[in-house]
Amino acid sequence: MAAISEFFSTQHRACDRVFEKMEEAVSRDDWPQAESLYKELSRDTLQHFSNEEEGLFPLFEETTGMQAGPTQVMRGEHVELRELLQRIGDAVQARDRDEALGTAETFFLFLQQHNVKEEQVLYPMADQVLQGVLPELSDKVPGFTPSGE
Amino acid sequence: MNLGALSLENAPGFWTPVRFFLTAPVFGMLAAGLIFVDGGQLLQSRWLPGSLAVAHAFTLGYIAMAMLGALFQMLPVLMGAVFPQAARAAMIVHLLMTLGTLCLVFAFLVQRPLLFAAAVVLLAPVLILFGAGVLVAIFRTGKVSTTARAVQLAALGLIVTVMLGGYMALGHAFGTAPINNVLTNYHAAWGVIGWILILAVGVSEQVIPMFLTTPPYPGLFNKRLAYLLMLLLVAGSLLPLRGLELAAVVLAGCLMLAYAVVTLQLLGKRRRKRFDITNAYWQVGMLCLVPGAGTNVYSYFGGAMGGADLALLSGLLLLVGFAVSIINGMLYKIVPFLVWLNLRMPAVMGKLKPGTRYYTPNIHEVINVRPMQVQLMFHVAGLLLLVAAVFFQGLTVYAAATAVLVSNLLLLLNLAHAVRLYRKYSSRAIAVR
Ligand SMILES: [Fe+2]
Ligand SMILES: [Fe+2]
Repeated sequence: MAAISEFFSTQHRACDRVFEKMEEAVSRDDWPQAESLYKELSRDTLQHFSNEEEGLFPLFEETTGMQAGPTQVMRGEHVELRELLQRIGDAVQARDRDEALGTAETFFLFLQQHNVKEEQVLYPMADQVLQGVLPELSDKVPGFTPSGE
Repeated sequence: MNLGALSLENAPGFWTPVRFFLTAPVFGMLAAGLIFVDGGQLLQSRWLPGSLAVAHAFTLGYIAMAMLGALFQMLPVLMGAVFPQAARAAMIVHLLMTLGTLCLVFAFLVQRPLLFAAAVVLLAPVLILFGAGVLVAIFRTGKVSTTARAVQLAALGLIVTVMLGGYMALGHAFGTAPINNVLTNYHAAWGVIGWILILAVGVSEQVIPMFLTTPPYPGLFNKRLAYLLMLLLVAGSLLPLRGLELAAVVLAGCLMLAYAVVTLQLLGKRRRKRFDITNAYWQVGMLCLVPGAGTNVYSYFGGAMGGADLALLSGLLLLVGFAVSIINGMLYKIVPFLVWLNLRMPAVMGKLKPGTRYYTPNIHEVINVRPMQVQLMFHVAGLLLLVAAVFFQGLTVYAAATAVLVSNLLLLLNLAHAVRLYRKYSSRAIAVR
């Protein structure tokens, strides 16, 4: 797998694992655990979004000249995902089990369809067109190395 | 690859798939009603007019209906291509499918040539065109996912199934051909394996690991499975050698068994342990696929079981047990998500005034889990009773038909609840905009 697909898809998987643990904690009514896992989930997810919005997407837009293309769609979905994430946080704060689980399910389904589009279309394309400018990406995305190590 | 397909703006509208999804349980109810009225004779042989009517109410009215609806939804993302005029095409396809299936079901029941002719005219062109459209569109896409490839093979399966079925129906219409056992067997094999099973294999490859949070299918097994099944079908159909056909039947049976076992194992390894209705339905489906494949091979070798028509039993397990179960489960994943997604569309597409927010129910609120569980219980009861009715007849038949009827009615009500919620909140979302 090429460097961009590898790095960003791995982050998707990592966020999924934290999400699963948080959901599990909520269903056990283990609220302190749920709260701390929620914080972790929120931090990692928002970091991933900003890796995309401030690192990958602008570079993609510059290189391809597509400003209103797929990256715009992904940004729009991030807005909604942030809102859902916030709503999960509120529900966890309020210890509202049904709302937390229902919103978590909603977040999860929407996130998965978002990730599929990135992993199957956007990342492979980015891997192709951004081959020459990978070092630039590593300046903006913490932890990213062009070699994919 | 057309990046426009990524845009939700190009996603087909809410009603495009949903009209198909709402129709499926209505045909399920029709099938149950026919079994009830018939009183069980039709469960004794698959060659009776009544059993053929019920079989097609399920295969066309329920299974193909729902699968086409799902394909209208899936294709843009799968192929990275926009389906031109999807909304209008879906409306026409749905109308022809509904009318055509009704004609065919009643053609079998009353044996009127004119109804057979009408069914062929209404169904064959639209299904063949749909299949060909999918086939060509995915072919043009070039490099595609395993799932898209399986969808393409399934489209081929659909075309062959419809051609064989259409040819036989024309025989009924013009009295040129009596019921032909060999052709019927091919028609059934292409329908069950070439269309339904191959599509299920393709969909599960992507859907099960992602939405049911299992590990991915191991190795290349599932990735090659659709090709293998198609290969066996073609070999078994084209080379009229008894030995080869026998080998194809046995091998296909083994592949179905392996697919069911592997999938059940995966479902047992879900990382999210909470009860998930879709997961339960996939499990029921896979548990039916095992005896369904088994009885098919057994009956092919002339095996017998208390005078029951084993081919009919196998068909029951594969169609109502396997296909209907996983479709029912998928509907509970897809419909609530579509309701939510379409309600959030103005927000996702940035069409709201900055700072405006509006409330949308979460997915668990769109259809509550409890009524879905109740429906699942009726579905499973209906399945067990149907299998029992094949052997015992009598009162079992009425109990089976009633359970299947209630199960489909509850499914319809649950889906209708989601649709009502969509209607209620979509007017609000627009008001905010
Ligand atoms: Fe993203
Ligand atoms: Fe992402």
